[in-house]
Amino acid sequence: MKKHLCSLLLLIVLMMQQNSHAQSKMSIENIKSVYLRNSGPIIANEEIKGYFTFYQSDKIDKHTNEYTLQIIDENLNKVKDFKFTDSKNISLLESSYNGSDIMFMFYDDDQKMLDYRVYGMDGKQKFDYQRPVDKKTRNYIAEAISLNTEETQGKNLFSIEGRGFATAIPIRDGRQYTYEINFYETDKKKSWTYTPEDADRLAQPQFLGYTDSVVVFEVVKKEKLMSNKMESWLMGIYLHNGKKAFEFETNKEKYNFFPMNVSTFRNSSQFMVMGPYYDKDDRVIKDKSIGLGVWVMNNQGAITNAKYNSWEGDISKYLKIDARGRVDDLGYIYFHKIIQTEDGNIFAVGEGYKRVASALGIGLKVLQTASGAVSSSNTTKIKVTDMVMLKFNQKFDIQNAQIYDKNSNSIEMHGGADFTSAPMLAYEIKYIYDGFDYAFSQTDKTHTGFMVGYTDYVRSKDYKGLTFNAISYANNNITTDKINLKTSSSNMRIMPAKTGSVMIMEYFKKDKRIDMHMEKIN
Amino acid sequence: MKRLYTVINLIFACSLCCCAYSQNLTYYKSPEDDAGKLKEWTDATDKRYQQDLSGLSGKNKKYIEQFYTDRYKGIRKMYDQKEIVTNTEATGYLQSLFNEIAKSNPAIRNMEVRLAFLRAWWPNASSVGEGTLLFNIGLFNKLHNESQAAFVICHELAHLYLNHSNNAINNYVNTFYSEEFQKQLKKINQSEYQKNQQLEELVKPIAFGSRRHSREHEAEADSLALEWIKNTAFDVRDVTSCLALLDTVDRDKYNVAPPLSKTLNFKEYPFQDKWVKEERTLFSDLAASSEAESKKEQDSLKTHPDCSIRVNKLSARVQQYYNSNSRAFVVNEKLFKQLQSDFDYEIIDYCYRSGNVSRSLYYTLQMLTFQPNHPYLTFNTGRCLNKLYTSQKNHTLGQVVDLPSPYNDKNYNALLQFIQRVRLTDLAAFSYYFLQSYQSSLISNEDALAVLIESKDNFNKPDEKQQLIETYKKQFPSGKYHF
Repeated sequence: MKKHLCSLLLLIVLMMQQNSHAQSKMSIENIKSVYLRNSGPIIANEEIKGYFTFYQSDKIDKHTNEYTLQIIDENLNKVKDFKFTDSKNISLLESSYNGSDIMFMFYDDDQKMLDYRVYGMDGKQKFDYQRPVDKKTRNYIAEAISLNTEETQGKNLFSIEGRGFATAIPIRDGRQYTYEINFYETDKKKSWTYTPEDADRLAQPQFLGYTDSVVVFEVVKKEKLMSNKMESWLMGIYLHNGKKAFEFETNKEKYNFFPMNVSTFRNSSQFMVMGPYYDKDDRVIKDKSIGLGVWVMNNQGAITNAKYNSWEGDISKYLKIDARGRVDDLGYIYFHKIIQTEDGNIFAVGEGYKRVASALGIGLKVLQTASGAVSSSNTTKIKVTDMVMLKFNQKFDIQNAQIYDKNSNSIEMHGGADFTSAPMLAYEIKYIYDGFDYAFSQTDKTHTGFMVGYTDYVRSKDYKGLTFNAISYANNNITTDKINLKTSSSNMRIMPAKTGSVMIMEYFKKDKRIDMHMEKIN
Repeated sequence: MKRLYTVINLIFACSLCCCAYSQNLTYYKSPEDDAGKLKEWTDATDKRYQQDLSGLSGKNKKYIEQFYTDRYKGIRKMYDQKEIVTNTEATGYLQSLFNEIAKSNPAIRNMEVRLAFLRAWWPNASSVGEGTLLFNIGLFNKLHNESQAAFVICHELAHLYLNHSNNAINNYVNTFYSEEFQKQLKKINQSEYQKNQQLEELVKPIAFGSRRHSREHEAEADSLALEWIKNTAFDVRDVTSCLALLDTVDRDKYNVAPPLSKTLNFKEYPFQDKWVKEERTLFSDLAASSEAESKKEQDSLKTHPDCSIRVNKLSARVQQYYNSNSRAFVVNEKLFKQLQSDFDYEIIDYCYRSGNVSRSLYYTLQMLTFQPNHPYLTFNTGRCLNKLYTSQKNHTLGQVVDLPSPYNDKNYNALLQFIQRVRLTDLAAFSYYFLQSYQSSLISNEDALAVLIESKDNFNKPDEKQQLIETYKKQFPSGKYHF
């Protein structure tokens, strides 16, 4: 069961607050105040290379603050402080590193502007790109600020090694939900913007990866906002000019295929897509999926290989599947991450979720019906269950499957959720309710191994509290590890770290101090 | 160049000395602390603290009292953690050096002094300000002779004699709690904007001034120390040779990269190059530029003047005062060298005992290069590897190892990177195979046998473990370990 890690993100922490204690004389420490505005990892090629902390280090005037952006390396050594003055209403949303430059993505609420600042490794600002935020993009900003967690870091700003950074921004104009893709170069000040041609449909892009010439997105499209019929499209855009390389719907094969996650191939211009598949005539909302499909594609958008593992066939040899296509006890599976390792194996990391009867919802429904009202309550709630990891060989034949038990986590959903499709439910659990226990995955540059992290809430004789759990793969072996997270700190946050470790950030309110320490995962 | 050869020769000489000594030293045993001396010093520290407090007066009394209390607690903590050496032989030796200096310097004869070695690996000495003078064993074991040690003692005695520490406290309190300063602080506190900037502007000149005073104090202490040394049988030329040595004193005594790929390479468990593959951290350039940027400010904020400046200031007087009858060793050369040798091991052992396992392992592996079969060094290598194993298993590794840093010594960083890269099973294997090759020589020592048993357990060798437990029970029927 999940107990939310109290996030320090956006939490304005008074580190050395003004002291009103009755003390006869003042000291420097009593007056000096520094506020932590934000912090997060700096990621390059899937590896954690360091962290940033963003402080408000002084108030300059009514409209302006002094800020300090502190860079900490992967071993928690402070390496650089950038000081600058700016509007009091700026937020640092994200940062990314592309092998030669760091980009910080700020939002200036006064000027309604996204400000992408590029810093070289000498610590000097090279240039910045600005993108005005208007009524079409303000929802995106609100969401980006509210969903600023470890999982959303790396969701909006994507590094393209040695070349620049890409962003995908959702745009809303009345009933129109569309997007734009931006690419910002870092060796010279040059950028391009891609906007879709069929802007009439609701569309949302997800960055998948890039090859030497193309940046690839999955675009989920719908005809109407409330429609349960989702279409999945794959789209590639040329890096050099921002023109579309390919775009097609993912139902072009013999099944209706719904990619849940995508991964670029190691040492190849190919990438793979994984997700449940349905018969062409099935309704995703009601019908069970047939199994789990995998596509291998090249950067021209051609499917070079397709493999379908059915629940009742191949997968059932390893996992018990019930008549509704659910893995018994586990429910449906949402795949958080697909990782291809150097030795050729492919691992799909998933988490179970299922509908269960909601005593609260049933009670409310009875009351509302009895009073003559139209009930909007659900009779079911969502139970997030165990972690699961499937192992495939290079031909995508399933090799093994393992369930990792954890305590369940219940979520009372919004009205109408009783009729929401399983893939849509997963989307809502992940992005709206932050309900999955999966925390993050990390791997090294060469993919010799990986670590998958998730939280759990344990109530045992020996320990009661939050735990961080790791499933690691190294030297062809899977190992698990658990760290008890109960401490005397007021807040705690687990962050991804360099390969083989996690970073624990603790805030001690009484001492007004933040501790950051690394722990190796076994 | 000449100095470099001297250092190399010194290391070689020391290693020979250690090798010779190891014939008798089956296992290193930490110098036993003297309970009587400990009581004498702690009582004297308590008494002095009370006297200092009762002597305070004036409007800033409570702020000075706070400084004295913090200082007192700091010293008591060092006693409690056995950081201060009270061993009869070691403290007796320091006292002999002091007596030799005091013999011909009546001014210091009646000073209240508690001169002690501190079990600290880093090269330093300090005068705490209330009579306690601490001589880090990490400095002592890098000196060339007694005259240099005598100069270090005289320098710290001079700080005490000139009351530098207490004067600094008084200056700080009288500045920061003066009416004028408080008025400025209140004004800043009431201002809505630029508080921190105003604070910085207010404090910076004081910080620069304080550091300047500090550098002046160092020069004063050097000068007075030279005057005292001049009156003794010690060689005044070692005043400047000691100051010159301080420029390179941060270099490791056994300045070699631990040969991990050789020490931890086993037929059954071959060493993997990826564990030690050099990789620059992403931000090393950024760290370098940051360091260069702040260097100018750091120079202004340095508490000690450059050693070359200190040498220049004293050179003429050193030449003038030189007496051809003076000697590099006056008190006990043999004991000086024995203590230096003992302290090599004590640094390793105390690092381990105080939870600094990565540094303990680092110095051990460096010394192993010179003494490959030394029983204590092999035992401590296994002990450290076992400790790394259990700490990593319990997710407390961060408490016993330092993290790599662009500011660390390159050789030490290489070991820290290695520790970060290896997995739990690797640590168990290293300890198991490493100790296995020394098993027959280690088995007769109780501590070493316990470390061997632990290595079998960590590497999941229950039969071998049980066999050794039986051996332990036979050899040490009332031993301190329970399995």
